[in-house]
Amino acid sequence: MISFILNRALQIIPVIIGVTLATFLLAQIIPGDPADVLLGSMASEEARQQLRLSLGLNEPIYVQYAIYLKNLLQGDLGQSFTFAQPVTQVIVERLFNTSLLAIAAIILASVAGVAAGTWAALKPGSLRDQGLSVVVLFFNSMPSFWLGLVLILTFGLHLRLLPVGGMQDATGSSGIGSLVAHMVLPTITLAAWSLAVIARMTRSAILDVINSDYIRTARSRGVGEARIVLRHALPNAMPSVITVIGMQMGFLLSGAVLTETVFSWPGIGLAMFQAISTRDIPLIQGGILVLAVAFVLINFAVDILYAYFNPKVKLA
Amino acid sequence: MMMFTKPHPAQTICSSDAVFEVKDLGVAYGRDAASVQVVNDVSLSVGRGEALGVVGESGCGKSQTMLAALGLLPRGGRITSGQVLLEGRNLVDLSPREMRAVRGSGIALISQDALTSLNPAMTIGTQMAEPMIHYGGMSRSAARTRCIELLDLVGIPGAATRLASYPHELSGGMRQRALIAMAISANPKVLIADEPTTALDVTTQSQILRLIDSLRKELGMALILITHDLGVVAGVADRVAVLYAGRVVETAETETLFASPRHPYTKALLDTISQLEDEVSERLNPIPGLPPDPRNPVQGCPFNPRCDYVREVCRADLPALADSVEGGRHPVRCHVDPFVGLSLTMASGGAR
Repeated sequence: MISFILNRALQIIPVIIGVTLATFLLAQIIPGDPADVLLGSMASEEARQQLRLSLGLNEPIYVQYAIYLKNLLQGDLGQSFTFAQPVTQVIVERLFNTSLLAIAAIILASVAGVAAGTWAALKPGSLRDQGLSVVVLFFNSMPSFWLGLVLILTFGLHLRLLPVGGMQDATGSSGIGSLVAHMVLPTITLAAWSLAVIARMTRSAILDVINSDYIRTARSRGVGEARIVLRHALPNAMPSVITVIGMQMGFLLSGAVLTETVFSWPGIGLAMFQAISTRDIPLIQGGILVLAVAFVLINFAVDILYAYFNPKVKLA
Repeated sequence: MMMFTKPHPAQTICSSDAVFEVKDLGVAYGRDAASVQVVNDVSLSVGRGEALGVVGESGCGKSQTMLAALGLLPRGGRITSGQVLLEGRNLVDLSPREMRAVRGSGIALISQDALTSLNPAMTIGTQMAEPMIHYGGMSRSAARTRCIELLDLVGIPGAATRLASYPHELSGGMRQRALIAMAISANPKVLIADEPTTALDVTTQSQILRLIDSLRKELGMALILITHDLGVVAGVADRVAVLYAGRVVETAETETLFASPRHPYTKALLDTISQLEDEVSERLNPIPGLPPDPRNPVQGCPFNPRCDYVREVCRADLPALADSVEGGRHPVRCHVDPFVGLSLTMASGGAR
């Protein structure tokens, strides 16, 4: 198992290098001179030259990339002019908030999704199975910002049950209870799509294995239906479910952009939204880099879980 | 004739001392007009310690009969008629909970492909011990001891270390042995072995067959050996039932069946193996044609499109399973029965 983990860890390195190259090239591909963006179109030609020199924009592209990597290794992702702060600082402050929301959402989506999918798979074609299909279709077809707005209207404005924006009350009464109350609606909004995908995947993965010979063997030895599903079918269905959960975690990070914007949740997503609307290239670059690296690391964790549930993978 | 000189514990097809009996069983898939009957009026019985071979081509209803008996028909399948009796108790009427208790300890199953029949995500020990601990009320350490004992019994070397192995870490023969150990773990009264050697190489096949046979004698189980290969049946089974298109077409003691088959289908099956034994490997002699599709049942005798002895009556009426010659000990479902035996002796001249 240890050598398996090391092996996978080594495979990550080229991927990360690729990600840095992609984010670096992003700034090159985006039309317009960064000097124009930073200084505005009214700036003098001298001032632009000055800035180009100081940013190293006149150097050959590979030198620029080397500088970018050197700064990156020192934790320097440039300066965000929207927030008037180093990009690293903006991201670090907000990474925790986004993680909090994403982790809550993936836990909700995984637990509820696997439970709902398993429950439906027990009686394929039954009323509850068809009911689940309808709910899944609904969750998968509506945009998350729309669901967010509907939840805000219903639970926030109409029923006045839950707060609708930010992480804490404006009055300053903080504490874990207030945080949880603020998390409920954004978590549901963020989780809905993934929950539906995970439920559908779990259902079909269980139906795939429930007719296996080994399930029949277990039944022929007098094992009861509850154990058949939970101890025999579910673990064998888990690899495909975990793969989907891992992919969903990546999507959750990007899905956070819309959800955080709707709920004014002070995370990377909201910062990215603001960066995009103000063409804050360094912050966009930094945000994409962090999200991409997070995606890679999540997949790494998924691979390890995959091996844990499927002993055969370890041989490969 | 041989069968008169050698008396046998189960002399009739429905002997009263049968531990396990299938009576007039019917199995169908689907509902109403779309319903497809895959097993028809199948009656089988097996006495304590006796071995019954059930033979037929793929799709003839062998496995469906046994799955129905275990209450494990796949979704859509149902028992349309008949009884399944284990020590006189009709299993068809049991609740799912009662049926669960019968599986494993009453009737046990050894499946065809041990690789797919063992849970790939569980160690051998965990899956072996599961019913003992959770349904047999054994402690973990007692179950472990019992598992080691069982693996020893089926001839797996280093049993204690094998408990921690996953199925893919064992060889094909070892996996089949582990599957057998699991099947006999609750001392079943009836052991159903569904093509237990099909996925194995020839040497391992005979070892596994010998193992199953010796376990049957040692533990006093009734054995039902399902196979498409009469050669497998020859060494093990006391009696043989030949199935075709979901019906029993002939039943007899093994030696009788081999010496004087009465159904053209049985005879054709025997022709496919006798060539191998004679080592005359000019050409295999397969039965021409395919078994009928249960969705389009054949009018009359279902074997008539492939039969060398077919007559007009075969295309019109389904023959009954009856014995006019041997006093009920060798029933056959055939209109042309007496002529089949006759032409067997003449067949050496070269009818086929």
